[in-house]
This record gives sequence, C-alpha cells and structure tokens, in this order.
Amino acid sequence: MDHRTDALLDLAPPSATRNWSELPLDALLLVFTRLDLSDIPMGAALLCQSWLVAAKVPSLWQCVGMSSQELVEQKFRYGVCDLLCAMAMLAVDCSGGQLQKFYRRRFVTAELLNYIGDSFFLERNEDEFCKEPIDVEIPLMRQLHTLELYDCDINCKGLKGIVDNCPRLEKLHIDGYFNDELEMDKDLRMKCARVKNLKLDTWKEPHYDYFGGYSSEEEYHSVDE
Amino acid sequence: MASAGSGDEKAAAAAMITLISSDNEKFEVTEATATLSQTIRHMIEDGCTDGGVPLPNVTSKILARVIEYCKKHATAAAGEEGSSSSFSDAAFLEVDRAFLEELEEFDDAFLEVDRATLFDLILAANYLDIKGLLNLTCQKVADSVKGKTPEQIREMYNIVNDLTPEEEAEIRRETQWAFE
Repeated sequence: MDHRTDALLDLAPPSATRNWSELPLDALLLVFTRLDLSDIPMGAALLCQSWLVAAKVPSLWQCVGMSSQELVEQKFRYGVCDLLCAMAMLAVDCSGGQLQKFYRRRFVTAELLNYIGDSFFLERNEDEFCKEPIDVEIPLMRQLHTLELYDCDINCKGLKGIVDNCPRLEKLHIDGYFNDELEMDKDLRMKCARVKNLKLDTWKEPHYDYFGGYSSEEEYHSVDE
Repeated sequence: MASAGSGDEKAAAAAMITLISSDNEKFEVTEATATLSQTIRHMIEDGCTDGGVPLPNVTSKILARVIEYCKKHATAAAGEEGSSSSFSDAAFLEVDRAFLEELEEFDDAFLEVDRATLFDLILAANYLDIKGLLNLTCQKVADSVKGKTPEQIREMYNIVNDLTPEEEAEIRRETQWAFE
C-alpha cells in the first residue's frame, strides 16, 4: 500500500486541464473566505458566472474584515478613505442584510455607519432616533452584535448613538480619540455596561473595568475626578 | 485473544474498509483512516460498507493521494490521544509540537502538485467530506489568487470568461474604486 502510494505520487498528468469554473460552490466559498475583501471584487468575482455567483453569497460577507489593509493603502494612495468606504458598502450590499460583524479601521464615517444601518430591514423609528447633532449618527441596527472601530473620532453622543441603536451589541471595541469621558452621564455608563465586551482604549486614566460592568457609585465618582 | 475482551474500540481500530476507485482499484484502509471522511463515516454507521465502498467520482490516482493524507492525519490524531497518558505535560507538549511541525511539513509537501491534481483533490475532499483536506487545498487556491487580476487568474486556471459584457460592466461599475 505504501509502496503503491509512493509510486503514484509522480504520476499526475501535467497537461490535463480542469474546468475551474466547475469548482463546487462550497469549495469556492472556502477559497473566498481565505481572500481579502479587496481580492474578491477586484479579481475573483470577475472571472466567470460561477465565481461571480459565489462572490455574491451573503454568508461570505457576514463577517466583514480586511487583513491586508496596508497593502491596499499602498496600492491606492489617493482617496483611501473613499476606497475603503466603498468596499465596506459593497460588503454590506453583498451581505444581504446578514452582516453580523463589522471590523474596520480608520475610515469609519457617519455616512458609512448610516449606510450599514440603511441596508438592514430596520424597524427604524425616527421619533426614537437621537436627533441631536452627534458625531456619528447611526441608525438602528438590531442584528449587529460586534462593532469594532479603530482610529475613530467619537464623542459621548456618538457612543450613545451606538449603544442606543444596537441593542444586540455584545462586543464594542473603540480605539481612537474619545476625550469625552468626563461628559458621560450615568445613563450612558449604564448603557455601556450592558455591552458584554466593551473596550474604549482611549480612556487612559483611571483604568475602568468595563468588562465587569458597574458595581458602585464610588467607582462612578472616581472616574469623574 | 484480542477479539474476546478488547471492546468495541479496539475492534473498530483494527477493522479494515475497502475503498474502490472509479477505475476499479481496491484500497484497504483502517477504519480510523477512512473515517476522516465524513461521507464514509456515515456509510460505516449505516452499515453499508460490506463488500467495499465504491467511489465512482474518485480515480485511483487521486484516491491514493487522499488516503495518504488521511493516513497521516489519522496517525496524528491517534498519536495525540495515545501519548497523553505516558508523558509529563512538558514532554507531551514537546512531542505535540514536533508532531504538528511534522504534520505541517507533510501538508506542504502534499500540496506540491499540478493544478489539475489540486482540482481533483478539492473535488474528492468535497465529495468525501474531509474538512482538513478541503481547507488545505482551498487555502492553496486562495494563496495563488491573492492580488491577481481576473486576467491573470483566468490564465492560471484556464477559466473561460462567460460573463456578458453588460455583467462585467456592472461589476466594474459597482467596484470602480478597485480599478482606478
């Protein structure tokens, strides 16, 4: 058995061709999940019908991320922000309302967040919607459970908008310029505490354990000082 | 004497399954090797492996390679279970690490195939439902596609562009930012 297995190793006919557009959809999806977001619309989706069909499968876009963002930034020196926004919007389109996770870095704009929200079948009620001028006005996103924003300017109102409008949010990581911690009222703090896994990295001092939620007024005051 | 009190597990480990390729070659493999394939595992559970398992979608050449993969990975799985009791934690970790490295080298070498073989391996892994092998082979395709233009990928994989000009224009319009 070993003998025959070894003997067969070198027998692959080099010239035989295969029709790669007939790759099973499951396998194609596995390939696509291993590609960067940018590789799909730029390359793989444009090959042929079957690859295009695979590229449009909503589940592929459920978890939108992009590992080699630096590479893309090198490729596109101009309008990087627009580019990334456009890609994210495409991802949102393709996710067919199934977007559950959203990771992005350095390009999140109010426009984009609105776009994400608009793309879901939202029970959006304008009356409940925070109409005050906030930095990041985001719409109701009932399905979103993970939101990670990097290098993102945000203030209390923006934060409030997020926790108010994403009731299912389990994980919220914000890394950027959040200088409004003194402005946070108790209501907002309580809302933040409901998010199971919350990280606001810019809060330098004092350290506050948001993972465990709130336990006492003393802690609350200590942050204020 | 092994048969009487050895229990189901040992009996199962020793059980052999015959796989029959599309070109009618027979391969005898242990059940542990064969059950890396979920498809075959279900067949065994349903008791329909007597007289061999015909695999009309898999040629002997590809089946031999698939079995080679399964053997290696089945050994790896068995080794992990078997060694845990006889080593201290540190020694076990060491063995574990060496094992994983060896497995990785094996996988790398395993993937040194031409594209037609790679394609056949993907089809076989998909049909036989061997997750590890499917992941491995699809990763290889993904790596080769990364950063390539559609034209380059088409050439590499011999894909005929059957998109209508309208469809192509639409995708390009939607993703215009990617082509500027």
